[in-house]
Amino acid sequence: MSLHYLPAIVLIITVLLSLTSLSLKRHHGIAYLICGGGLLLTMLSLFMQIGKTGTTSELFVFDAITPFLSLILLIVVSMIWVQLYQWLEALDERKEEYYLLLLLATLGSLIMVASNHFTSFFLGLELMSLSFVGLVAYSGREFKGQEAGVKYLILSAVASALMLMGMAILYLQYGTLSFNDLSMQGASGTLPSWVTVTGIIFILGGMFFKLSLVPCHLWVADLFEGAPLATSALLATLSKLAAFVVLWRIFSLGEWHTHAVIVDIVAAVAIASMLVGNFLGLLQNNLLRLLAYSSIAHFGYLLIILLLAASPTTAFLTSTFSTEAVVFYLVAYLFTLVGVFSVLMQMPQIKTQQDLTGLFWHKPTLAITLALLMLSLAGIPLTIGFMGKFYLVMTAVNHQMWWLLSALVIGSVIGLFYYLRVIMMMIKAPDGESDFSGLTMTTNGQLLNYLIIFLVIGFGTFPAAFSQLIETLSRG
Amino acid sequence: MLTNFLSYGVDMQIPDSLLMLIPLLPFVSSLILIFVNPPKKIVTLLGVGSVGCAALIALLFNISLWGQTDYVIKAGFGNWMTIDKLVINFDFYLDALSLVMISIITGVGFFIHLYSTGFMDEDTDYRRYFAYLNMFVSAMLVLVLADNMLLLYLGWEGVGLCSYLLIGFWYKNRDNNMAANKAFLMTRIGDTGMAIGLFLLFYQLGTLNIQDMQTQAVAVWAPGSDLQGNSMATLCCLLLLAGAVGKSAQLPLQNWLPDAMAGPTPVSALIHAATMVTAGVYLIARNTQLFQLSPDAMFVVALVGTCTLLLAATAAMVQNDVKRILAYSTISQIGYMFLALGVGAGSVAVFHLMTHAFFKALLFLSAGALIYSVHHEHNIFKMGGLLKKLPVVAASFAVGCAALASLPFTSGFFSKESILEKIVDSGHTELWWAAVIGAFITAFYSGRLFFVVFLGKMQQEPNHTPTKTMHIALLVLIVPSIFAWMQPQGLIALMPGLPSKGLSDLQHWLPIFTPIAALMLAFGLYRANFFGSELKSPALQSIHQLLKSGWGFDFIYHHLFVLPFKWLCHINRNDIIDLFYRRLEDTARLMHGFVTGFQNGRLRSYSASLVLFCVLAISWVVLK
Repeated sequence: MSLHYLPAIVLIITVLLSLTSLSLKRHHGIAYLICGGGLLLTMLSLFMQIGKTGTTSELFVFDAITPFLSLILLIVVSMIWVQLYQWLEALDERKEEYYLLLLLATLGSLIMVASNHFTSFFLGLELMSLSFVGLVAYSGREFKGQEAGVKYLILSAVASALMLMGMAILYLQYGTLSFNDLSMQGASGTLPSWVTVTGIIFILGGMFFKLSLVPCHLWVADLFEGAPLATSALLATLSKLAAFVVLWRIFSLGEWHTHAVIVDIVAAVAIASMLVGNFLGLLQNNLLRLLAYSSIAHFGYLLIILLLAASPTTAFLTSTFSTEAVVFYLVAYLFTLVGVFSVLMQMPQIKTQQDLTGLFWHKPTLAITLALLMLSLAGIPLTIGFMGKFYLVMTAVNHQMWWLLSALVIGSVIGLFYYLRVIMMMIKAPDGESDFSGLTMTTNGQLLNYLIIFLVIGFGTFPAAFSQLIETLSRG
Repeated sequence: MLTNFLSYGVDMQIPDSLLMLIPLLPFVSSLILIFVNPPKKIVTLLGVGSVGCAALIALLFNISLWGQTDYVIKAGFGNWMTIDKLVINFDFYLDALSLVMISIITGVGFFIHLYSTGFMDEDTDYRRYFAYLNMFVSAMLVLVLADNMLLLYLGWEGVGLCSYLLIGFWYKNRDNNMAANKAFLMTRIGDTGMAIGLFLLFYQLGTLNIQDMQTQAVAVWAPGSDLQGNSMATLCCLLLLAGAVGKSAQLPLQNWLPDAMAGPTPVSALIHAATMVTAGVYLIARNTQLFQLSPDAMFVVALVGTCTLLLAATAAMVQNDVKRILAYSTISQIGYMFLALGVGAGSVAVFHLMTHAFFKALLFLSAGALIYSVHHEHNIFKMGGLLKKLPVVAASFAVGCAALASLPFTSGFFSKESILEKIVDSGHTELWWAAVIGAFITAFYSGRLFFVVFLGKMQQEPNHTPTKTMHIALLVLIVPSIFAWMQPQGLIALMPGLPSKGLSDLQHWLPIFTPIAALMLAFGLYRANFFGSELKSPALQSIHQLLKSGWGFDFIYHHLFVLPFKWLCHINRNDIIDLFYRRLEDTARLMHGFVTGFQNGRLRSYSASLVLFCVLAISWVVLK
């Protein structure tokens, strides 16, 4: 048994363990600890794999970057896990099952990140999606949560159906479902190329739904608003990262680029997402909806990278540079987003921008952290978000994708408006209406805040350490 | 024994990494002073001690490298940023040039700090003062030690920022803030040019490391290469020169320096002697090889220096304010350095920079002591007869003025003499004459300043005596102002000048007698009560007025730039461009409304959106 499957096995054992303990005796603390221990062990086993030689099997691929991305996922989940105990305690529900679902979703995403075959990809996706349905509809008494759960269930089913249809068509064409065989075009292809393209479009449709890209973005705001806070955080990070990695892996095989229409469609969706996402956020008052819209725009920016493999690289940049760019951007965005959510989890009663009025004068640490994160999302220099965007823009400039770049610039400018508005609200003099007396700062939360500040500023100021790590990893 | 010591030096090895401490010490101390509020004694200890320790380390380096000519010491904090081909290290580079610079900065800087403890004793913002001062010194050290242009630029901007903070130190007075703004904005014009120059250099040469840049430039723009390469070298040099001109207060960006007197006097000493204005000279000296590729740019440097030195010297003749006289004299002396740089004598320019740092620091500090003693009076015609009352101040003033006037056997004499000699070597006779005339005027106004302040009838009784620390600083600085006769050997090796042509008798003796004659003339006019009296003829009066305003540059710039700009602002009150952006805003709102319309919360439209995507995409495929 190869070391590479160890993380998944650890997670499965953790799931079984927590299920057993749950059936014997309900205890929140134990469930919390089992979950944390499992995550820690998984991280350790992933950490051991970094830098080791990879292997590829029929179903899974473990190249240099896979364990690294999985580790990032695990770190993100753990950062949410840290605050889960307090947050669940305040929730008027049974608590232990949340960890179970969380672990299952994590397992699904790990499988997706490592998948090398449509089957493994689909299994991972379904495992994750179904767990998310449970996570979204976790609070049974809240109407909005239930509504969101149903929406997610049905829409996921539609998306899965589309993807299955696409896979079937591809199977018809190639007679195989392995990603590697996608590049063997024409070997067994008997159908006209537009059929293949149609299949690809169906798969893209499903993926764009998961990534909430225009025009399949409508659900995301309702979900973020309706789902419990921790679930929204997971939805924004875990599910999107996993889906994006799969898409990126398929695209970097190079086959799909040969269809000019696909490139055009992805470019159009990227541009539309950047613009529509930011326009939606412009006057949005609800913080969670705001984050949902901003995530539409951010994944629009990321789509640029998908197109890079299509155009030839110039001499100025090395070929690993786009890998570096995509990983840096993903990590920067994920950490920033997790940061935002963990700040929001520390003040559960705050829902809208108005509620934030004068926060700085009551809880300066929280306000400064949130302000930094907003700057990072907007891509202001000296934050990690800036460096991510910098890499992205540099790669795109190098490939002379002027249309996408101009959309990115316009989108960023619009985005700046609502990010800065959040900061402005916090600095405003308190109006007496917003009540922060219920806010209690825990040591946990404080430490997390400092960690976030350190990461956002540290990697924004000294990006070299991190980018070099990615570079060595992506060279293999 | 002594000769032995001097020629071979001590066999002492000190670790290279000590180099990093030199800028780091003042920087850390500055940070501490900004964030912590220790008792006053600790503030003094930190502020003065950090620069003192840096000076000691610089001294150690001097001792260990004594007698050597060809040395390079590198130390660094490692990589700062790497973006593909652009690799920037946080590294320091010490050679003969930077060794001279750090010795001046830390040495003179230390005495200015020491002096400040007395001068600023009663100020309520004592801690803020030392925080800025330390930051200033540290930024300047980074500037001269940087091994790449970007790090140099960091120091460069740090110096700019700190000078802004210090000139406007007494921020409650609006005039001081205006002076600080002026200094910042004027130097910014040059900095912009320099930044563009750096971009261009990186674009052309592919590196920002200073040493690599020189070799690369020589390889790419070698003499005799095509015309295009040559003009590119000229363009780069001129852009760098723009930065140098701004920082060093040379024509046409010179008029911020006289106003920069608004800060505390020790700050002026620091700006004029050790930091800030020497940065431009350093920049050009550092890039000597680059500049030598472009004779045109070199000539422009020489020309800027000559014009500035004459202009500032003439302006200094008629000022009343003791600090303004000194300010114009600084501009004029830096002009000499630029002239020397322009004729290809970098080592001599840096030699003059060194002697100038000593005597100008001495002059400013004694001027500070003087002002401190006489009710904060600046007008020299309200002083007089202070020789007996303030002997130490008078002595230091005398030495400073003598060195400024380059009387024989003072440090200023040797450095200025070498500059004149090098100008002859370069064959620019017309520039030589201009420099000699400048030397005459310099000696004349130095004499005027000294005689008016210290001789004659006492106008007002001094009410303070300078503190002990102030006296110590003055007395120590007298020594190098007289005895800094020797040009550092390493400089000559680093920047070999032109071969000597030999001087004619006139060229040899005229510069020696010029200052003496000028001083005698000044003394004669002083005895005739000419200084400070009303001028009879209106023509002379208007000339006097013109000179006093520094050739009216403020007036010219005000009418050439400020007023047209204000006028443009006025006619554009409603902001034509804003109208465009209003529309943008409306469009954005409209778009927001439009796209929000789809967020209707209905599951059926949401699932329709998925189908819509597929339909649209497939119809695209079909229609194509």
